[in-house]
Amino acid sequence: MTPFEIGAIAITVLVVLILIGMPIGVAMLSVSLAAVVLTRNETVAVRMMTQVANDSLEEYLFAVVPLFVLMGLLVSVSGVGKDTFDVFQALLRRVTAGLGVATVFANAVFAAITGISIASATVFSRIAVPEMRRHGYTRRFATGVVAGSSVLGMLIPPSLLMIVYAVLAEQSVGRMFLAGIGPGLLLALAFTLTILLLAGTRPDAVFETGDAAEYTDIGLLDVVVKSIPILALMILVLGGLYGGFLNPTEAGAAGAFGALVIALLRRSLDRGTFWRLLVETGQITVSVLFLILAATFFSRMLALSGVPRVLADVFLTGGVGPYGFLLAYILLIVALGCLIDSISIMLIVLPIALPVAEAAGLDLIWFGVITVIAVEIGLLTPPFGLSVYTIKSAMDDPDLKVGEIFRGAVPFILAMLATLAVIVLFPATATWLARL
Amino acid sequence: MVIICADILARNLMGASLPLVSEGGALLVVTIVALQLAATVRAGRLARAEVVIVPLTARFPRAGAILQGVFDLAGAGVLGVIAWASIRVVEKDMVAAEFIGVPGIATLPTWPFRALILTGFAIAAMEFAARVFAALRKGTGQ
Amino acid sequence: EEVIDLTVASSHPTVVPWVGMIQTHFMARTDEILAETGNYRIAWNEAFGGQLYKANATLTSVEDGITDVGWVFSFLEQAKLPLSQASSNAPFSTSNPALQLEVHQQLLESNEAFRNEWEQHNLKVLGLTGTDLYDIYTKAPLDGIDAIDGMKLSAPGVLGTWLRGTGANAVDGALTTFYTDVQTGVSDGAVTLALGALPIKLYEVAPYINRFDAGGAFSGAVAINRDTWDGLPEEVQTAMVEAGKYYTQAHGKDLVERHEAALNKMVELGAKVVDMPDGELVKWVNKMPDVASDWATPLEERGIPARAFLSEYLDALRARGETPARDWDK
Ligand code: NA
Ligand code: NA
Repeated sequence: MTPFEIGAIAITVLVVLILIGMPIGVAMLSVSLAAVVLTRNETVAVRMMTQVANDSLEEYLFAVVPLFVLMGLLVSVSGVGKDTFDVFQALLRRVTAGLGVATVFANAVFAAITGISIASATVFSRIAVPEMRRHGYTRRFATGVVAGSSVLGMLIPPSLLMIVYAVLAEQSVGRMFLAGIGPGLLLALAFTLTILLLAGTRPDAVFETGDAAEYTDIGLLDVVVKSIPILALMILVLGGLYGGFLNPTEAGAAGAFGALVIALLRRSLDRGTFWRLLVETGQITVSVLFLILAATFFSRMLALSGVPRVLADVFLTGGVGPYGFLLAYILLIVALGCLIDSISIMLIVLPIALPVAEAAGLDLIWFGVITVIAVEIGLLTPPFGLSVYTIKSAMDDPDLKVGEIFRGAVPFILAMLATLAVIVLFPATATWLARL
Repeated sequence: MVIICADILARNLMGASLPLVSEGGALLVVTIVALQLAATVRAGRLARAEVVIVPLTARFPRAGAILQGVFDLAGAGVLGVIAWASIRVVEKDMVAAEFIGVPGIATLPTWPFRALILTGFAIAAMEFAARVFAALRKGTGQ
Repeated sequence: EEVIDLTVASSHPTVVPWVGMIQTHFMARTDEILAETGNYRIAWNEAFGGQLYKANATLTSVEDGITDVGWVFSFLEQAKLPLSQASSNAPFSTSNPALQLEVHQQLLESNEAFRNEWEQHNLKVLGLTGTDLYDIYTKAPLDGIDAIDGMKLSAPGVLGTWLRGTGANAVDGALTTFYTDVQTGVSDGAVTLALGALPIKLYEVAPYINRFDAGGAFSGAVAINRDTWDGLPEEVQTAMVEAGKYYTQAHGKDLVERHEAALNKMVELGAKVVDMPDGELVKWVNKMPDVASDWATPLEERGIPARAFLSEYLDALRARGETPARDWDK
């Protein structure tokens, strides 16, 4: 067998193993090990895997993962999300479907202090859904809005997905973060339009009953007071990062520390909760970094096999062209998104796709933003949609069916596809700020 | 987090970096991941696609358990190999007196980290192995 | 004609001049020599730019056969290649990068400890690499080395030791962080190479290139895995040795030319070269504590003949008419 054939078979076997439920990291390690044994020999294969295990995670930047995860978990217990929602609720009460729009805006702002979508989904399913229900919105719409807008959490910086992409594509984390701002705001706008459109054309999908409930009135002073913690955290993290006082890892550390201070000041954190958050942080981190480790070995195996090189030839000289490649790429990711979680998708697909994108001369920052949005569609698509499951478990409502949330999220998937099209057609929406 | 925050303050207020923070931090990341791996395996938190195996296990518990056992066996295998082959890495670091940092300013030997990394992978391999036996018991219905 | 499959790899991309020259000089020359008889042809499987391993594993990857041929970055292998650090721990001993390589080529043949420190890692050295010259890039012009007292300068790793005694603070980082670090005030400038400064556009934020022509250093080698080497036909081995020598020479010459070209290019793009008065480099080097001794002492304690190697290195430079800025061996 030629190295190329071995590589191609390895990819196929990997996909099958992952689909039948093998832990993704273990599958990537086993398949890559076997493939290198076949292309080279046992000694090289074992030493290569051992080197990956010992060296590939040895980067200061990776310390950023637990820090941003911890920060995300801390802000989700700190009550900052509720304050943000209260502020937008007060500002948007006179708008049609104002609570839906408030959820989107609150998510966009909350996104600026959390790097993980599950944090957004958890927080807003507990705050925004009950409030919308009280005001007569349908359950499907209420949960759909929360699911949809939770994806903003990993598009608007900071973002765990952007960090992982930056590592794999060797782009600057700071630039990737900047590249997410424009598309994030664009997506928030698209969500808002979607809500207004829905409320205008199919009001029965949005409202179950008339809105008879009272709005709790909060004054201007409250609005200001409630805005302070989140603004402080934003300034600390993003200001520190772009003011040049902090590198990404340090921004994560400062953010986690700031979130801890806020949570302590508000007495929303007892010893038991804090310990639970630390354990959770540890598990998410190890799960992500173990995947990165395995994906590193997978991509090195591919480099030995020459598969990416051949693929680049096929796509770029075979009349398909860069846009054809991009379309196939997006479709592949959306399809995988039905089955696998976001970070795993990136780690499986990018080792194959990045060399092709590079050979095609695509702007890798732009490519990264497209990747992140396409991957995030998977958060909302059945049968496996992480945001939807997160909402289901956070709501703790036995009547609420997962299918209902998936249906509620459909308009938002469409909005994401439309936004994706805009970004593909107008790369400047993503790259302008990052290349400034 | 505390160390990194201290470094930020040191650098921005006093104009000097604390030594070893970035190199030590990098090495610590690998060490912590290795040491936490077994716990993450035990908690069942390794990322995987559940669309086939979860319904399968619900309908055919034995077949599901056996499939799970095969996966755990693969995990035990690769991590065992990594741990075993890492012995050589630790030895080489010890022999060469491998260090991080800059001589004359501050240095730290790397082999204790390497030994901990090896230990972490070894424990994770054992955790997988233990799960293989548990899966076998379930699979054979005992 | 027999076809031999070989993997050639590097942690850095081919835009780095000496990595690109592995393709354009080492591989091309090997192919050329082999084509003369037509007995053998090498099918190169190229994996440049970190596809197979990163900068933290350039030595072990050749040693373990992950690649057959690769560039070993000795700067990042301080513990495993201790004697290879001599030139950067005896700073400013020569300002001629080509000569620097020539001397190391000679030491590889004459100094057993130096050759062993490479060959014990299961590899055969074919060609050598070095850096161009170091200058201090700042936001405001300097009138001499005294002016950096109290400044924060980006100077990672061993470059930090060069700032000892000057009153300047070394800020850690990497080539990729210099630009933002200077732009945002994390540092006031950087101690770096023209070849490094040009691609990262450092001159945009630190336009004053205070030209010290501070000595370049030995940085590594193009090497081949020993098991692979032993399995090669003699004709191929001979061709590679010759191609390696050609590579080293061409690279030395290229460093000298490219350094000037990079400085000129930066001036064209708006940078200003500030020539340091005579004697500033000597003044700088004499501010330092005995960094060569700080480097050699712990090695001697481990039985590594660092002092003897240091002397042999400096003597070889003197024999070629160079005057080291400081007699580190005395
Ligand atoms: Na975010
Ligand atoms: Na999905």
